[in-house]
Amino acid sequence: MTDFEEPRTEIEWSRRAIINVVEVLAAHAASLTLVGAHAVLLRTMALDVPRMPTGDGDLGVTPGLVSATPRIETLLVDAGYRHRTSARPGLWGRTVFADQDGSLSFREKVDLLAPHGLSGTVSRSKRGAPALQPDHGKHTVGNVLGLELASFNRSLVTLSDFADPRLTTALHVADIPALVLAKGSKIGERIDHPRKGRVRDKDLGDLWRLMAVGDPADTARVVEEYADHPQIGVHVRQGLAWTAAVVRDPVSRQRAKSNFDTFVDPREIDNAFARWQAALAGIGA
Amino acid sequence: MDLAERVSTLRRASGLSARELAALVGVAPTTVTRVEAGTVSPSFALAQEILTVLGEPIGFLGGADREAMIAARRALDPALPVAETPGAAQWRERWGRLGLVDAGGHAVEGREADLLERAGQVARLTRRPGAADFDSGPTATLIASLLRSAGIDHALTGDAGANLYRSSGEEAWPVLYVEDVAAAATAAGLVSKASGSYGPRITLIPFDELSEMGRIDIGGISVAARDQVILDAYGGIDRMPEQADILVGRRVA
Repeated sequence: MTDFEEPRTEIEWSRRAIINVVEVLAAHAASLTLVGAHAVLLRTMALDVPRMPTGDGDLGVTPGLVSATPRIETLLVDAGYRHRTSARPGLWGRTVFADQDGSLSFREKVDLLAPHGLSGTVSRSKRGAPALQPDHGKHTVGNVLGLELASFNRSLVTLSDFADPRLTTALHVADIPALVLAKGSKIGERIDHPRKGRVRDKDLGDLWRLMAVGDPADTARVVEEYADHPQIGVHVRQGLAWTAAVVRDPVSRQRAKSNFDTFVDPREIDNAFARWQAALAGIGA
Repeated sequence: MDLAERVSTLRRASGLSARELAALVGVAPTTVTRVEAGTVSPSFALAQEILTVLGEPIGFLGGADREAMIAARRALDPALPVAETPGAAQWRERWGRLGLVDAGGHAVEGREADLLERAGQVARLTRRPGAADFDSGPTATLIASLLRSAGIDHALTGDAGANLYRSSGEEAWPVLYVEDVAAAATAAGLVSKASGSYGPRITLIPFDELSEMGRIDIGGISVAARDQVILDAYGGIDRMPEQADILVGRRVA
């Protein structure tokens, strides 16, 4: 590890963290899927907008694909990772440093997140993944709503380190349909239930990024394919309903424009929302 | 989009309830709901006030509300030696009705982050008076280093500035306050961006008496005051408000 160039920026550290954790959890590689900002970044590289400045590394964990051994918690702790907070399960960090304001931060930050619908709980207030707890620890993996499709709609990608491209790993990365539904679900649930958390303009910005490069017809086809799936069908249908509502919501469209104020032509944002509104409305029709 | 729809959309996009917007404007909540429903046609003055507090006054040509920045920074640091202005006093009154500042104009304890966020929303970093945009290329830190060598006064802000206070994101948009935009651009070898064009950029903003105050040196780099950086990040793009949230302790890094 020390042979490689050290990352210098947050995004370099977060990419390094993902690669390192994938290596540490190699025994469970089939269960891991890159989701969140790094997945969006990978799938939207062609866009001429500022690169997503993320320090987060989100890894989806599909419980049904995780073996009983080795214990994930043990693997991470043995590799030097520890919980970044006791308030939420699944948030891991390694290599502590002191920021200018004296607060302690982690250079490497990775969130392990099971899809809520596959996590073993139906409660929206439980933040862990009971399906994994007996074998892998109570606080090891959190759960997030909307990641269900990402467990199936994904493809293997060779991920290169940003700081040193000699360092690579092969990892499943969520495809655009899964990422659109994940983001749409997060925003849609929060619009319907504000106590679940704030909607940020950046979430609408991410959704626009995906819609701008994605093919709505392809997403419609994938959603239809999984809409009656025995494990995730109900979650896919809910995710579609939320995403469709977000895409036709004028406030969400305005927030996407605000997110890229003066950086993206608002007409481009209008066009993407209009295209996707039509495509999502037609699913199941 | 008619006025009713515009007000409703902007209000909800700003994360304000009808009651909060009414408090900011100083009218009854029913007035706001009636304006949004289109059952009341507001006077020009009321429409202007509503759109001003939503960050898009009538005739909006792109200028951020500097008075809101003055009001917010004075509320957080009453000793700040910057002159009170009528516009800043107006913001203090508006925020007072929202419970963000007290009768003395000081930030209410526990509401400091809300105050900075509100100020950032109406004083957007993307629309600062006198700002000049340049083609992307060097990082903010490299530009700062070139300006220091050239003896040009400057201070980082935006995402790069936020990262100096607490490492929390990536630099997506280099923004620096500078004493002389033209001289700074020359010293850093920056090329002007086509007027009115979209896309990635570097932005230089001329110092005013507010942005000059409270600058500090972090690791040899001059950075704007912490409150200014947070306010600017809340008024920035993409993940910058998230960086501001981390700086004010609203979010786990």
